[in-house]
Amino acid sequence: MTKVLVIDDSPFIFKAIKKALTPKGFEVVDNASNGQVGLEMVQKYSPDIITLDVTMPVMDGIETARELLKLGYSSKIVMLSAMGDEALIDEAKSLGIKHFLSKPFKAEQMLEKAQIILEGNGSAV
Amino acid sequence: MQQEAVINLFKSSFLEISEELVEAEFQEAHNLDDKTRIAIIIGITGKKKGRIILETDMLTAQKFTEAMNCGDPLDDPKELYLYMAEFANMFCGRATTYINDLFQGREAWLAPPAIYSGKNLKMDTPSLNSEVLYFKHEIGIFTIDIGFEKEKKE
Repeated sequence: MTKVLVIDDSPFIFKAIKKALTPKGFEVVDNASNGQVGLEMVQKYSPDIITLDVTMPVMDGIETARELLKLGYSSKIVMLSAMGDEALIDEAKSLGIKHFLSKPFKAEQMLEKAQIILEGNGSAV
Repeated sequence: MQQEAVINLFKSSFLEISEELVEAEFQEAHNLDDKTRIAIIIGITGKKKGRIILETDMLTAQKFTEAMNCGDPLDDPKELYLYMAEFANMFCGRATTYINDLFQGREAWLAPPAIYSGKNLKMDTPSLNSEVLYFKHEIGIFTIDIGFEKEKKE
């Protein structure tokens, strides 16, 4: 089963992702409330897909992405943000992040991103 | 930054996000009550500094967050605060995106939300020019206090 790890300080987002992906056969394994905890969970679960919030306490999404890229997760990350401005997307793109979603998102949008990652198509943003 | 245009962007962002999240069409309103209240404060940094305060009573917050949770009660009552913070983060994020698009730059950037609750909450920021918006729906009433730094005299 495809494992999805949610790194986000909002339980609402965790539940929304779980509701979007679980019925389609994905296993949403856990919710890390900040990047530091997220990196520990990545080691624990070796997820196939990681959703990553930008604004979090302790370690934010951009800093976490830098660490995840070192671990080879660049094409497996969906970056989530309430702020969809170009500057932020450019910063994340420059790190090698390929997939983005603005919050709030629809279940089908999350599912589409997950399926693109699963199929190994890294071209979508 | 033109304050009126910016306030209108926050107004439309609140209405859009509440509609997208819980399919609630809020109307502008002009009254308040004195029940126990919850307030979410989000700081704005960038070229123009300020803060947004989203405020409502606890019963309205409970109804709204249950609607966010597809009508189900929250697993833990403490999640209410986090759901409300996420809602505030979403509409403020939408508004800052609009602002940055409108002014073609990084005019505004959000700080993580701070959450307060209690009776007779009174918040004042004398150094800011602020405007309060009221939105009502059968769920209840929300207020949004939008404050930006006063322009310096040249």
